[in-house]
Amino acid sequence: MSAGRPVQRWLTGMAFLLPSILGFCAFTLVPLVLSFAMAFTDWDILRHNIFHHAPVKFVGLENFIRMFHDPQFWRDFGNTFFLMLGLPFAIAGSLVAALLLTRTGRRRAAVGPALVLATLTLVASGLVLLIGGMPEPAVWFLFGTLAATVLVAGVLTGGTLYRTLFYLPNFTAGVATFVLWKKLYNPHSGPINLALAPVLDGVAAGLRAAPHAWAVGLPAVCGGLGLLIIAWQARRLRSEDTDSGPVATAAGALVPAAPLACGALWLGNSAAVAAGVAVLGCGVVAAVAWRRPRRYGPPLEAAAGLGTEFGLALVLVPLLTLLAAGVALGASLPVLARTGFEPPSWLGDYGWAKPALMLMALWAAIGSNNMILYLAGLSSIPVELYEAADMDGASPSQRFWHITWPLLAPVTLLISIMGLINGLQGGFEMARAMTSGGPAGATTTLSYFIFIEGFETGRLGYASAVAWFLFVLVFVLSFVNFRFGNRHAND
Amino acid sequence: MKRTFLIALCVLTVASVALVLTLPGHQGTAPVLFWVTQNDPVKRETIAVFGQWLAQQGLPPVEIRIDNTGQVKNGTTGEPKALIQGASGMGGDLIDVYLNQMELFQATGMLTDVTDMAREDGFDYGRTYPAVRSDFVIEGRQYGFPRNVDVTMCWVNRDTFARYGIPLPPHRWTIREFEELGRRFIAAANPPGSRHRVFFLNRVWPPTLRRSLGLSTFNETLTRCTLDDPRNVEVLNLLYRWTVEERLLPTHSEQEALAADATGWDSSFSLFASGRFAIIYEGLWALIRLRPKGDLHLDAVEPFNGGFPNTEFGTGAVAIYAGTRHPTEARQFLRFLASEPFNLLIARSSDSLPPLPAYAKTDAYRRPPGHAGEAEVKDAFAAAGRDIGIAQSKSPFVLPSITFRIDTEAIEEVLAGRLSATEAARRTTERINAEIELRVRRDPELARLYAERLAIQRQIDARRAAGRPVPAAWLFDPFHLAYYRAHGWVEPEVKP
Amino acid sequence: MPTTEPASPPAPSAPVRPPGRFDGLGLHGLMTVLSLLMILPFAWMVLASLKTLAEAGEPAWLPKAAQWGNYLEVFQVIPFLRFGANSLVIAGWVTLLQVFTSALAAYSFARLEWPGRDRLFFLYLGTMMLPGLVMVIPNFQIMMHYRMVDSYLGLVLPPVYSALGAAGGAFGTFLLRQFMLGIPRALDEAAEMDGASKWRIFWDVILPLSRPGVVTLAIFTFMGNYHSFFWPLVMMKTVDKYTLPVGLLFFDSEHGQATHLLMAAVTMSVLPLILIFVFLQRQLIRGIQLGAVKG
Repeated sequence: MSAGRPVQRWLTGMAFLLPSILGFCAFTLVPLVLSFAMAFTDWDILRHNIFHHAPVKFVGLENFIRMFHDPQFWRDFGNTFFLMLGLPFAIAGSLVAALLLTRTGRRRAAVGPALVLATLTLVASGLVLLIGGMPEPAVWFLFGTLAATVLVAGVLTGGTLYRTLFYLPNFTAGVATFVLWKKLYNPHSGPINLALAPVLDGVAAGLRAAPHAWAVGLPAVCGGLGLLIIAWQARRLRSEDTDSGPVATAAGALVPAAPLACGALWLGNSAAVAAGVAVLGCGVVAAVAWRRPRRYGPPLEAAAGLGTEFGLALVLVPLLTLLAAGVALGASLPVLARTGFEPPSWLGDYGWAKPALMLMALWAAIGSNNMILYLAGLSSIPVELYEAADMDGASPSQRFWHITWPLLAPVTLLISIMGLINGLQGGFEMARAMTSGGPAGATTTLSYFIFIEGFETGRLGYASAVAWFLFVLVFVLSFVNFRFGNRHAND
Repeated sequence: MKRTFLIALCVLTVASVALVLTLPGHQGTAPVLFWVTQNDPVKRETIAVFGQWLAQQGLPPVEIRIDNTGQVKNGTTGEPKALIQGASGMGGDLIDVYLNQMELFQATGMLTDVTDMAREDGFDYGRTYPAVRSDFVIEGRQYGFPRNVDVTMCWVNRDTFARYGIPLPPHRWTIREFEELGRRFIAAANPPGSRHRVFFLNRVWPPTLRRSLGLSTFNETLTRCTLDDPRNVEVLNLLYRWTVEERLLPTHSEQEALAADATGWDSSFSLFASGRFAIIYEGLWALIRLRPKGDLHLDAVEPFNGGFPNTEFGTGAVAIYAGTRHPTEARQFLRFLASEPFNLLIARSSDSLPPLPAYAKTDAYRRPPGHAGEAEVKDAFAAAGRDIGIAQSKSPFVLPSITFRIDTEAIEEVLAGRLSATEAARRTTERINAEIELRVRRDPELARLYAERLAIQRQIDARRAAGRPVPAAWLFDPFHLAYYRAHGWVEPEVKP
Repeated sequence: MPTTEPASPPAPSAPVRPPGRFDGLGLHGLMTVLSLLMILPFAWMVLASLKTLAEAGEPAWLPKAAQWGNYLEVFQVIPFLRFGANSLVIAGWVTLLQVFTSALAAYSFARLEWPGRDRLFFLYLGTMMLPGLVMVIPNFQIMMHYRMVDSYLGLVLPPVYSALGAAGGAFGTFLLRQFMLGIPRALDEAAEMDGASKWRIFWDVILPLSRPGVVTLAIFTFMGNYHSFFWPLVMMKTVDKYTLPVGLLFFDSEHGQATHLLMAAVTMSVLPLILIFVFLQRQLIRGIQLGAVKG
C-alpha cells in the first residue's frame, strides 16, 4: 500500500484529487479567503461596485467589535441556539424512522388482516361522508381512503412505499412546506388551533370549578415531581455501577440547571441567560467535587458514558422544563380560569414562534437525508451480532444500546456534525418565508442576520465578520463533537 | 455502477446539446430590453401599448421582456438579485424602484441620472404630483419617472357597518372618533363568550399616525431620527391599546397569520368582503382585488388623524439602469410613461392614480368601462392625492430598509409586552442615529453632505426658536415641508 | 483530531429478524399513520392546486369543484417544460460531476497514503463550516470575471464544488470517505497483488463497493440542486435558462400570488423527483446486497 517514494505517493494521491481540488480552489478556497479578507474591511456594496470605486478601507477588528456590541447580534445568537435545541430530537426522530423502516422491510405482515383493517377504515370514512355530507367531511373520507391505500400498498410492497412517503417532505422542500405550515399554524382557522380550542375550554371549565385547589396543587405536584427527578439523577450519578467518566458526570449534573437556561433563551432575557450560565457553572463544580472518587483513566475514558447522559438529558430536560413551567404557572391559574385560555397564536406570538418553527423542523427532519444515512448504516450491521445477542437472552433495549447504537456511531457522528453545521447556518429560508424574522426578532437567526446585512443593506464586510464568527463557533463545536461526542465513533 | 456513470454522461450530454440548440435566439432586429418588474396583466398591457405608441410616433420597434425575479417581496425588502446583478454591471435595462429601494439603488450608482433628458423629453418631475417627488428625486436629481402613484385610504365596507348597526365613519375623522366607533363595533361584532374573530381595521401605518400628531421619523434636514418624542410614545401606547387591550385590529403578526396562505394580501380582501374586517387600509389598487369579490358597497375615507390629516403617498418609479446598452430605447419608455396612452391605461385598470394628475379627472379613471359606480371612491382617492398625501420620509444617511426594520421590531416588542413605549421610542431613535453615524463616518462624501445639512438644521432651529419662517428649500423632509406650509412657517415662495 | 473509523463495516446481510415490539400489522398500522403525517403537506398541495384563486385563500381543504384546468394554465403562464428540463439537466450535471470528483477525492483521502493528506482533508472539512451565503458574492465576481454569468456553465460548475444552496463537494468527499473507510483493506491489497493500477482499483473495486455511499450522495445532491434557488436566481437573466424554483416566482405579482397555479406547478415539478427517488432507492438496496456478497 505504502510503496513508492513519498514524492511519487504524493503525486498519485494528487492525481486523484486533481479534478476535485481545482474546483475546490476556484469556487471554495478563493471565495473563502476573499470573505476572510472582507471581514476586516468596510466593504459596502453601495460604495464598492462597478459604478463606485471608493477605496476599500482596512478597518481591523472594527466589524468584530461592532458585532460584539450589537444587541441584535446577541439576540440572534440566542435564537440560533434555541432553535438548535431541536437538533437531538431531529436526529432521534430520523433514527427511529430508519429503525421502523428497516423492520418493516424485513417483516411480512399477514395480508389478510391488513385488508380487513383497510376495508374498515374505508367503511368508516364512508359513513362519515354519508352522515356529514359534502364537502368538509369529505376530507375525512379522503384521508380514510388515503390511509387504507397506504396500508394495503405498504403491506404489499414492503418498505419501498413507506420509504418514499417518509422522504416526501424533501421533494416539496421550500415553498409548499412553508405555505402549508403557515396554514396549519393559523391562530383562527388553522387545524391545530381548531383542535386545541375545545380542549382548552374544557380545561378552563375544570379550573373554574376549583381554582384555588389547582393554584396550590399544580405547583406542588410539579415541584415535587421535579425534585424527585433531580434526586434520582443525583443518585444515579453518584452510584458505583455507572461507567460514566467525569465529563459525562458533569454533563449529567447540568441537567437540572438546563431548564433555567432554556426558559431564559425562550423569553430572550439576557440577564437570565447570564444567571443560567452561572448556575450551570456552579452545578458542574459541585458535581465534580461531590462525585465519589473513582479511578481516572486516559482522556478518552473521561468522556465515557457521555452518549448515555446525552440521551437521558434529551428526555429529562424537556420534562423538567415543563414541570418548572407548571410551578411558575400555578400562581396565575385563578386569573386564567376566569378569562379562559386562548390557544397560542404560534408564529404571531413572541414566545411560541420559536417552538412552532422547531416543531416544523422536527417534522421535516424525520424523513430527511439523515434517515437515508441511517438506513444505509443499519443495512450494513451484521446479523450475526443480533443472533448472538438473542442467544444470550438480551432484551430489545440491551440489543439497541449494545449493538445498534455503537455500530451506528460513525453515521451518528456524521449526522450530528452536519446537523450542527446546518443548524448554526440555518433558519434563513424559514425565517424569510414564514416570519420575516419576527415577531420582534424572535425568529431571526444568525444566518438571516447575515442575509439582511449582506444583501439588504449591502454591508458585506460586516456580514463576513459575522459569518467568520459562526465559522469559529461551528469549528469548536464540531471539534468537541469529534472528540467527545460518542465514544463508539472513536473506538 | 460504471455503466450508470457512462449512461448518465451520455444522456446529459445529449440533453444539454438539445437545450442549448433550442434556446430561442434573437428573432428580428428589434433591441431587447429587460424590464425588472412584476409580471401581471397591467404590465403586460403596458408593453403592448408601448409598442403601439412607438409605432404612432414613427419610432423603430423595441422588444421588452419582463424579468419579475428581481422584484420586491412584501413591499419591504428588495430582492438581492437586482442589487447583486445591478452592482456588477448585469442589471436589467429598466428597473422598477419602489419605496425602500430608491435610496439603496441610487447609492450604488446603478441608476441613470435622467434630469436633463427628462427636461428635454417632457417627463420631468414637475409633471406628476409634487408630493411624491422625493420618491424618485434625490438631491435635486431625477432618477426615473412614476409608473404608478398610489395613495392609501381606509376602505369601508358599508354592509358590515349596517349589519351591526354602527354609523359609517365620516370622511375626515379623528383618533378619538376612530376609537369610539371601533369600540362600539367590536362590542357589537364580538359578543361576550365568543372568540374574537371580527376586527375593526386590518392595519395602521404608524408613520401616518405620528405625522397626524405632527411628528416625523426624521428632523427637517433628515439628519437625525426624532422618534424619541412623547408623540411617538403616545402612538405606541395607542397601538398597544388597540391591538392588545381593545383588539380593534390584529397584531402585525396576527395579520400575517390571517393571511395564512401565500396569497398574502388576498385573504385580507376576502376577510374584508366577508365582513371580518370592517375597514381595510390599502391603496387604490385594492379595487383590482375587490372587483371580483362581488357587489360590495364601498366607501373610501381618510385615515383618522390626531390634528393633521395626511396619508401615505408613494410611487413605483421606472428607472434606467446605468449600465444599459439601450439608453435611447429606455429613454423612450420613460417618455411613454408621461404620455396619454399610458396614463389612460393606468386610469382604466385602477392600478393606481394616473402619474399625470390631469388624467384623474377623465372618465377613463372615474368611470372605467364596466365599473361605472366607482366614481365616488375614485374621486376620494384623487382628492387625497392632491390634498393630504405625503411621500415617505427617507434620509440619505440611512437606508430606508434599516429604518423600517428597526421601527417594526420596536413596535412588535411593545405589542409583545416586552418593552415599554417610552423605552421603545428611545431605543428606536438610538439605533437609527447610530446607523446614521456609522454610515456618515465611513463615507467621506456623505460626511460632507451631512455637515452641510447640520448647518442648515441649526439655522432652522434658530429661526423656529425666534418664531421666524424658513425657506422651503431647507426642508428636505416631505412631511415637514407639508406641515410647515400648512402652518405658514415657510417663507413666501417666489414663482420663477 | 482523531480520524473517524469505518462508517459501515460490510458484512453478509441475510434477512434479519430483530424481534420487535410491533408485530406485523401493528407495525404497518404505525407506519401508515406516520406516512399520513408526512403526506399531509403533499395532499394539501395537490388539493390547493385544484382550487380557484379565491378558494386558495380559505381554510377549507377541499375545492368546491376540482379545477383541472389549473394544470393547463400553468403551461400558458410559464414555459414549464423548458424550466423543468433546465432544472433536470443542471441538477443532473452537478450530481454527476460532484459524485465523480468526490469519489476520486474520497479515494485519495481514504485509501492512498501521501504526505499532508489528513491536513488537506481537514481543510476540506473546515470549508463546510463557513455559511454559504457569504460565498455568493465572491463566487459571483469570479463568474463575472470569466463571463459565465447567465450561462448554463455558471449554474453547473460552482455548485459542484461550493456550498451555494445545496451541500458542496466537501460534503460529498466527507461522506464517501466515510463509506470507503469501511471497505476492508484486504480487497485492494489483493487487487494490487494482481498488478492492478490505482485507477483500476478505484474504478473496479472501490467504486462498486461504495455503491450505497455513491447512491446516497447522488440522491442528496440531485434533490438539493433541483431545489436550489438562490444561486440560479442571482446568476440568471435570460428567462429561457431559468430553473424551476426561480421560474415559480412568475406566479408572484405585486398584488398577491397565484397560489393555485403555484401549487399545480410544484406538484408537477415533484413528479420527476419521485420517479428518480424510487429508482435510486432500488439501487441503494441492491447496492448494499451486491457489495455485501462480494465482501
